[in-house]
Amino acid sequence: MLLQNRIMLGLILIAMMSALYLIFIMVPTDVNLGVSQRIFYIHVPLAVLSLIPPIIVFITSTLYLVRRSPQWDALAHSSVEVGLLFTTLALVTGSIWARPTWGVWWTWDPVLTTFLILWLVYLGYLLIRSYTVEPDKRARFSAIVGILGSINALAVYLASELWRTIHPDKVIGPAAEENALDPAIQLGILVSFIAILLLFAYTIIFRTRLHSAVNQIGSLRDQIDDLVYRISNK
Amino acid sequence: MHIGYVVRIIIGTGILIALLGASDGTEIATTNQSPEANLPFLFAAFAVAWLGFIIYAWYLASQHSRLRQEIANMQKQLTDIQDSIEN
Amino acid sequence: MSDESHIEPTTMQNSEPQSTAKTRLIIALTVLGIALSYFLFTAFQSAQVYYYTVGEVVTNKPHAELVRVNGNLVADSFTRISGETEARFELTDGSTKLLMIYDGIIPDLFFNPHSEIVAEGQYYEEGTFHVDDILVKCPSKYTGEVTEST
Repeated sequence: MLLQNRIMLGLILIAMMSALYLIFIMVPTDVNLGVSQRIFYIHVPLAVLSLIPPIIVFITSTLYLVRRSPQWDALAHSSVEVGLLFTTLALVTGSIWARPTWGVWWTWDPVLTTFLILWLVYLGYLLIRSYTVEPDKRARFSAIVGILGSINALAVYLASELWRTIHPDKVIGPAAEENALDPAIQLGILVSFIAILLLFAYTIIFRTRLHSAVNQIGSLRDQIDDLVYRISNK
Repeated sequence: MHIGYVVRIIIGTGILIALLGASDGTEIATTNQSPEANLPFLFAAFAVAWLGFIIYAWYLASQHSRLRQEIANMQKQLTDIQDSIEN
Repeated sequence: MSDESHIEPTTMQNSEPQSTAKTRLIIALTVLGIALSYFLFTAFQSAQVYYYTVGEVVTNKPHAELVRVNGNLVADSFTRISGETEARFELTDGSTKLLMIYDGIIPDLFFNPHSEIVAEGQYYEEGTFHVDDILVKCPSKYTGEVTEST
């Protein structure tokens, strides 16, 4: 393992332990929702980070179509796969939180519906990829699907502004109401967000390594084939 | 191989416990609730999230070691061929 | 090894039918794009008005359709005859009140003064709303027990 890997994993471990300490020991129990409000600390970072892969995919897919360099395709694919993991977990944790607070596991609310569509877009992207075998064609096809699909993330972001919804408003970020959170809760969500952000970044980086390993196998195969060809022609 | 099945069984039972924990929570009394009343839901949410990460990390690690094995095999094959040319 | 020899000639001779492959790709993407936008459109249309306010329901009188109403529980309006499951309560948007008839489980946070209620059901001419399901909309402010005094 490389030194930078160890540093990254160490940082993730420290951030996660601090987050767990804050979530379960430090933060006050919410006056209205009770302990179920603590699901907030894992649900919100997962859901917010679910909206980052579309930004990465939009940029990398455009770069791929312009430059045709496979590294951009690898990054787009990796971020979609991690995006699918994050949206799945955000949907599941959200559903578990909704049951004791709203009274239902699921409702066809604009925020929830657009988020489900985002999940379907990720799934569709990966399915389309798995059906296309030829690498160049697959990368081109994925890039176009990626650009079209990533626009949907905007709908998720704007859903709570544009339509009436049961989902709570944003409590962090630029669109948040001021003083929506208690200082201790604010610290808790910040540390938890950093921990999950590091995990998110590391997972994408690790996923792209699988792509470079596959590329390495490809070039080794070429070298072997070349040698075999030369031997047989002698 | 065998370790893989063991891990799968552990993960499966974990999911089952998480789901049971959540379904138990629905029976909770409706009105006079204590702040801890929804503890099974909190447990279920964290359990699901951690399991999701662990399963994905496990999948990535297994893919990674498989590819590295393949690379090592091919590099050996390549040096073998190069040796046979020189001799 | 055999893969290589197969790939070489196909990429060479592909220059002619590549244009048909391209049009096929464009057609597939157009179909996909239309399907996606249709899906988005229908999803939004049904979810666009997730709930109405009490005032909107009382003035529009939506007849024979399933709607959602949002409002606050009128204090002390909740009544239930002991031994029966049917409950009656009023929701208000601040100016208008609407009588609700509901037979079912009341969610945990129903009586919390900070909660808003979303009721799914049908409006009847005589001015009552027959509720099928109740959802509780929680405040998007989170506070510890100590600081809560207002």
